[in-house]
Amino acid sequence: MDKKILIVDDSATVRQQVRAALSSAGFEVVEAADGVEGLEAITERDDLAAVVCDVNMPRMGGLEMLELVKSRGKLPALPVLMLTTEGQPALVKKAKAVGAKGWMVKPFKGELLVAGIRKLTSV
Amino acid sequence: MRNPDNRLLDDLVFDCCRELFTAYALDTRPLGRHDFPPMDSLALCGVMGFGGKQMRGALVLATTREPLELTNPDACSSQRDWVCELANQLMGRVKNRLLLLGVEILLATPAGLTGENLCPTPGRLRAPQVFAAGNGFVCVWIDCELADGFELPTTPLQDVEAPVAEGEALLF
Repeated sequence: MDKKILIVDDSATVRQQVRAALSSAGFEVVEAADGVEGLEAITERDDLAAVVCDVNMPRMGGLEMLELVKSRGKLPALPVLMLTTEGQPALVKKAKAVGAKGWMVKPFKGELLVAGIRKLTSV
Repeated sequence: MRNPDNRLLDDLVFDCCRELFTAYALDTRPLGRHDFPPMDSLALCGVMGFGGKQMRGALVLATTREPLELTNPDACSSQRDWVCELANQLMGRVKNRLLLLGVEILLATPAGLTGENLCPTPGRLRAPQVFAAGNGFVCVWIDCELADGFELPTTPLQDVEAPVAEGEALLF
C-alpha cells in the first residue's frame, strides 16, 4: 500500500506541486490548507507516514501546529518536514526542538523533497 | 518610524527579485524609468506585510499575466494564488538578506490584489523596480518605515548565523 503523506500549506499551487512530486514517486498525498486543518487530519487519521508543513499560514501556523501535535503524543512516530520560505536559524532550532525532522526552503526541487520524504519514512 | 532614504533596501529587493525568477527559469531584464510599463497592464499583485523592532511595512510584487504563466508550476492553479506564493518567496529571500544585516522581522501571510492601474503613491523616495520578463513585466517595491535612530548596515554583520538558503534541505 502507498505511504500517505499529508501536505499542509495555504497555497494551492504549492500543495499541487508537492502532490505531483510525491505522487510520481509512489506516495499517496492528502492535503490541508492551514494548521487547523492539518491538526484535524493528523488527529483523526492513523495512516499517515509523514507530514510536509509550511510555517506561515492563516489561522494556525506550522510551528504552532507542530507543538499541538507533539502535545497529543503523535511525535516522534510521525515525521514532519517543514517546507517554507523562512530560513531563520532561530525558527529552524525551534522546529527541531518541537520535533520536526527536517527543514526545506522554497522554492524546492521535487527530487530533493522525494529524497527527504523517502529517508524520513524508511524503516 | 521614518522612511528609509538609502538605496540599500531597493538594491536588496532588486537582487532578490531577479534571483527568484531565475530560480523559476525566467530571465528578468531591468528597465529604466523611461521604459516603465503601462500601469493598466499590471493586473495582479501579491502583498506581504512584515514587522519588527527595526522596520515594518509591506513588499509588493505586481506582474502582468505572462510571467505568472511562465513560472507557475501548476497550470491549473489560480494566478492569484501563484502571485501570492511568489510574493511570499520573494519576502523570504528579503528576510534572509535582512537577517545577515542584523534585522529581524516577522512575516504575515500574503494577500492578493487584482485591479487596474496598480501604482505606488507618486512622490515616494524611490520608484518601483521594473523588469521585462518574457513578454510581460514584473514590478516590485518595498514600502516601509525604519525605527527612529536605526540605520540599515551596509555590509553583513560578522557575528550573525547564516540562514538556511533557498532550495536547501536539512534533515535532523
